[in-house]
Order: sequence, then structure tokens, then C-alpha cells
Amino acid sequence: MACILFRVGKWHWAVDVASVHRVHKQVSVQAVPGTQPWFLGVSQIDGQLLPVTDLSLWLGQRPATGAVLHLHPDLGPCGLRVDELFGTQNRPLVPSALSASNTLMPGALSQVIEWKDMTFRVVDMNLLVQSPAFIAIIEARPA
Amino acid sequence: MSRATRRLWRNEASDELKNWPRRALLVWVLCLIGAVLLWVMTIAANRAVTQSRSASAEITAIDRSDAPEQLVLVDQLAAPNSDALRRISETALTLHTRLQQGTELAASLVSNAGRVAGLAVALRQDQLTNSNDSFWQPMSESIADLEKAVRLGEVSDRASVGLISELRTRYADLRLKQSEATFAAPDTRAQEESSSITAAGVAPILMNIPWSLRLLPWLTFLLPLGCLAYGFYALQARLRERHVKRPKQGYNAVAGASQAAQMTAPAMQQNRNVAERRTQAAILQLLDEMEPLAEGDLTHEARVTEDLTGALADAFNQAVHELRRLVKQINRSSEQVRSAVAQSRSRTFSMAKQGAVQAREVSRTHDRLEQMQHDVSSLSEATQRVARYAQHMAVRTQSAAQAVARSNEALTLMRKQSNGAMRSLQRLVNSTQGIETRLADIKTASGRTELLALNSTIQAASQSSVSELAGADSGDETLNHSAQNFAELASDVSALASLLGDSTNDIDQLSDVIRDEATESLQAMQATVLQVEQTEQSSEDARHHLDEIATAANALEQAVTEIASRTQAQANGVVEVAETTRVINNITHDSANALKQAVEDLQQLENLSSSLESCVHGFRLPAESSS
Repeated sequence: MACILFRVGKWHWAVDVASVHRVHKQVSVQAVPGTQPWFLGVSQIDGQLLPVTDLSLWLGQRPATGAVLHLHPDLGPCGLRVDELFGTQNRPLVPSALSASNTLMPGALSQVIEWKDMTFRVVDMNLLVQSPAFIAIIEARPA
Repeated sequence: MSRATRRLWRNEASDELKNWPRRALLVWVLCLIGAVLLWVMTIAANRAVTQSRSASAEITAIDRSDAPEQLVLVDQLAAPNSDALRRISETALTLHTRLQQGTELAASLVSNAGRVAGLAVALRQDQLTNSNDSFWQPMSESIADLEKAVRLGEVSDRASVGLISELRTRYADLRLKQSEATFAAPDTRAQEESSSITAAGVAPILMNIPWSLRLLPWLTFLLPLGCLAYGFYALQARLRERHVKRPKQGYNAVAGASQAAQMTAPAMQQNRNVAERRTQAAILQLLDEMEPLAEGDLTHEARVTEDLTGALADAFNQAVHELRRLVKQINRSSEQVRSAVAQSRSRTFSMAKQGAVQAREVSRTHDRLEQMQHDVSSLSEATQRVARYAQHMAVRTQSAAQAVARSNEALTLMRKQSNGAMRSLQRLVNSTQGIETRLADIKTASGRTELLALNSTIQAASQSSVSELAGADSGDETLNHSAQNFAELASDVSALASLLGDSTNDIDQLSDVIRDEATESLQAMQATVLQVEQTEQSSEDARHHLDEIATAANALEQAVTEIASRTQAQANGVVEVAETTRVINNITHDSANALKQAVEDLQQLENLSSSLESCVHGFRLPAESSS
């Protein structure tokens, strides 16, 4: 399966190429007040607004500094800033002993791809973007 | 004699002539006694004079050895007397045999005796050279050791002591003959006299010998001659007496005839008896007065009367006066000789001691000179080696200065080339920076290409999934083929982006390496240039120093060469001084031995003077004469 390999913090992830629409090297993000810190804001890409989330901050790591994965429109408008992008690799999936619940990342599967002595865990972006934690971008205000 | 003769001529009585034979006999005996006495004194005086002259000659020979040109004569002595050598060897062999029989004697004494005999035999058979080193000094030392043993009481045998004394005497004779033979010359007599005057110690002895002693041999001949003349006169008087008894013979016969004519025969007989008795009485009185003289008493004198014995008494008194004067002169001379001998012996003994000290010091000086000679020779050799080293060092220093000059030129060339290389490296570093600028653009393009490839890949995958969904529904092959071509294009772009990225990374790394290497090379070159400049300066200084060292080495080589030559001359001079000192040492040894011998000779001279004094000791002199 063709996957896009990237790194967020100390973790390596792999997503299906079909779940990604484009990759933007540099995007101009407009912050949105009253949102979570990991929600960087919205960016205008080809005349359409694209919400951009810092996946590293969302996972509790330092802010990401790399490219932005523009997910496929079928999954909804969403951009994910990652730390490092390794490109696409068409490699077979290898089952992993790790369970799906054994991670902070929603949509993480029990399959991995091995490339250059590194192990990339496969993530289902559809499950990720629909997870409640990912959707709750509104900052909780104290009562 | 003349007064007695005149008195006899005045006596005309023939009776007196009858007593002539007894008077003549008495005077003859007295003259004979005086002659014998004078002869003995003459022999003693001549012996003393001879021994004094022997000592004087030996000391004169020693004094003459002070002259350098005569040292050669001492070393080249004439052949000694073979008989004297034979006597010395025989005496030494006898002594050796006697000493061998003594069990308690030291072996060195026996060896010394044998050595003396061996030296004498060897020189006699021409197995040795007649020089101080080979014969005279060993002989003198051996005899001196034997005499020392006698003085220390090691040799108490009377015969051995006598043999050692005889050996010394014969050695002294041999030495004296050798000296006379060595220094003999046409004017030997004058030289001996002059040397006897100048020789210290012995000259006063000869000077103090009175002229009366020297006239003794003449008196010895004159007295018997006078006695013969008197006897001849007595014989003539006897003949006249016969003429008196016989008339017609001479004037006495005429006188007797006239007297006989005047007197009668009895009266003449009576007068003759009276005169005979007076004569006998006078003779007896004269004999009584002469009796103390036979015992050596010169205080008495005979009375001079008008008798026949008056003339004899007068002559007797005159002889007694001469004897008094002679004995007094002998006593005075003997005293002077003894005093002079004692003084000379003291001086000679002192000179012998000083000579021994001088010999020891000269020997020590000779040893030091030999050591100095060895040291100076070593110093000369070392100086010559240093001169060679200095010369070698000068040559090497000049070569080193030339090498340093060539190195300096090479360093200058290297510095210029390093400056050119530095400029090249600086340009390389600048070029590397331009490459890096362009490489950043290439990197940007590569990133964009990668992104393009990624997006193409994503789009190709998207198209592929779309075409799969659409193809499955409609079965359109063109759509599938388009998606496939798009995927291949995305793959090519991806491969191109990957290749471009890899090449860009490689170029970047190479550029970094080149920049770093160029920077390091530039820094190293700058350090090298700086070091080369410092080395060049040091090399220049070293070249100047080497030039100075070369100049100093040349001067040192010249100075050391001069020192070596002067040291060699010094060594030669030390050798000559050492040789001279050795000769002086030998002479000093001989002088010391000769002085010892001179002391002994003076002792003998003193003994002879004492014996001479004892000879006249029996004579008694009047009180006013002795005072």
C-alpha cells in the first residue's frame, strides 16, 4: 500500500496516499481566537479556507515545524502540520503487536511499515478527524 | 865553617894537628845526625804537600766540572789505569769473599762488594763505557755504602774494615789519576797552581806551608856536602901534620924547625903535654856540653873558648841555633797546618752536606722535569688535536653557512610560493561561497521538486483510485491508461526529485568539505607562511652567526696552531733542561763523594801534621824561643 510517511514529535506515522489531497510546504495561517492552542487557525488554499491543526501540539509535544498535509476533501477540510515528511513509500503492511488503544493518536492501527530501520505506524485519518478530541477546537472557558 | 877554618889557620901548634881525626869524626857524626833528621822531616813534609796537592787536584777537577764545555770531558773520560783497576778488583774480591764468610751481614753489603769488583773488571775488559753513569757513580755509591756500613758498625771485622779503607784509597787514587789524565794540558803545572790557589779549603794549607820546609831537601844535600868538604880539609890537615913531623915539608916544617931551634927538647915535651891535656879537657868539656843535645835539649849551648874546640863549639852553637829555628818553624807550621786543616775539613764537611742536599734537590727537580716533560708533550699533542678540530670545525662551519644560505633562499622561494597558494586558496574559499549560494537555489528547487513529486504521487494515487472506481463501473481503458501514465510521471518526477535531492546533498557536503578544507588549508598556509618567515629570519641570523663562528674558528685554529708550535718548543726545552739536570745530578753526586774523600784526605793531612809535630816534640827550646 502506498503511504505517506511522516514524523510528529518522537513518533513516526504512515497514512494512506488516498487520504491526502496535497502537501503544502509553507502555508499562511490565520489564527482563530477562542480555539485550542493546537488549532493553528485557517489558511486560504485555492480560494477555500483550510483549518490547520498542529498535530504535535495536539499530541502534547512541541509545536511542529514541517509541512502541512492537506487531507482529502472527502474527509472534510483539514490540514495537519507535521514535523518531518519522508515522502511516499509503497510497502507492505506488517502487523504489529501494539493494540489500537495503546496510543494517544485516535485511528492508530495495529499495522506498521518498516523503512530505513524505522517503523511507521499506520493511522486511519478518517477515524482521526472524526474523533471528539480532534473536533473540540473550542477552547474551554472557565465557568 | 869559615870561622872554624880561620881559627884552625891561626893555630900553628902542631900538637893541635894531632887531634884532627877525632874532631873530624865528631863533626862528621853530628852532621850525619842532622842530615838524617832533616831527611826525615823533608820526607814527612813532602808527603803532606803531596797529599794536599792530591786533594787540591781532586777538588780542582770538581770545580772545573762547573764549566759546560768541560762536562763533555768528564763524560768522555780517558781510559783509567789498568793496574789500578786490577788492584781495586782484587781488593773488592777479597772483601767480597770475607763478607760472604760473615753470616750476620746484610746481603746488600756483599752485593756492593761484588758490584765494585764487577765494575772494575768490566771497565778493565772494556765491557763498560768510561762514563759517570756506567762506572764512576755506581762505584762511588757502592764504596760509600760500604763505608756507611763501617760507620754504622755493621762491619766490625778489622780486616774487612781495612779492606774497605784500602778500597777507598785506591778508588781515590784511580779518581785522581783519571782527573789528571782528563784535565792534563801543556800548561798543567800552571793550572794546578792556579787551581790550588782557587780551590776552597785546601789552598790555605799549601799557602801556609813555610818556605823553610820547602828548603829542607836542599839542606839535606848541603849538609852532607859540607861534611865531605870538612873531611877533605881534615885529610889535608893530616897530611900537613906529617910534613911537620918531617922537616923540609911546607911552612909548618919551617916553623917547627925554628921553634925547635929556640926551645930545648924537654921544654918542648912539657909544653906538648900541657897543650895535650888542655885539648883533652876542652874536648871533654865540649862532649859534656853536647850531651843534652843528644837528648833533644836545644836550650844548652857550648862555651866558645880560645881552645881548639872553640871553633867546634861555635859551629855547634850555630847548628843549635839553626835547629832551634827549624824546630820552632816546624812547630809553628804544624800548628798552622792543623788549624787550616781543621777549618778546611769543617768547610768541606759543610760543603759535602750541602752537596748532598743539592744532589737530592737536583734529583727531585729532575723527576719533576721529567713529569713536566711528559705533561708538556701530552699538552702539545692535545693542542695539535685541538688545532685539527678547529680547522675541521672552520671548514664545517663554512659549509654549514653556505647550506644555511641556500636554505634561506629556498625558504624565500617557499614563502613566495606559499603567498601565491594562499591567494589561490582565498579565491577557492570565495568560489566555494558562490557555490553554496547557488546550491541553496538548487536546494530550493529540489524541495519544490520533491514536493511536486509528492503531490504528483498523491495525485497519481488519487487518480488511480478514482480510475479504479470509475473503470470498474464503466470499463473505460483510456482512463486507466491515463492514470497509469500519470502515476509513471509522478514516479519519474519523484525519482528526479530524489536524484536531485541526493545530488544536491552530495554537492552540499562536497562544498562543505571543500570550504572546510580550503579554510583549513588557508589557515595552515598562513601559519606556514608565518613560520617560513620566522624560519627565514632565524636562518638569516643563523647564517650570520655561522659566518662569525667560521671567522672565530679560523682565528682559533691559527691561535691553537701557534700554541701547539710553542708548546712543542717548550717540550723540547724541557727535554734539554731535564738532560742538563741529569748531568748536573751526576756531577753533584760525584762532587759529594769527592768532598767526602776530601774530608778524609784532610783528616790524613792533619794526622801527618800531628806526626810531624811529634817528630820534633822531643826537642826542648829555650823559654824565650817558645814565647
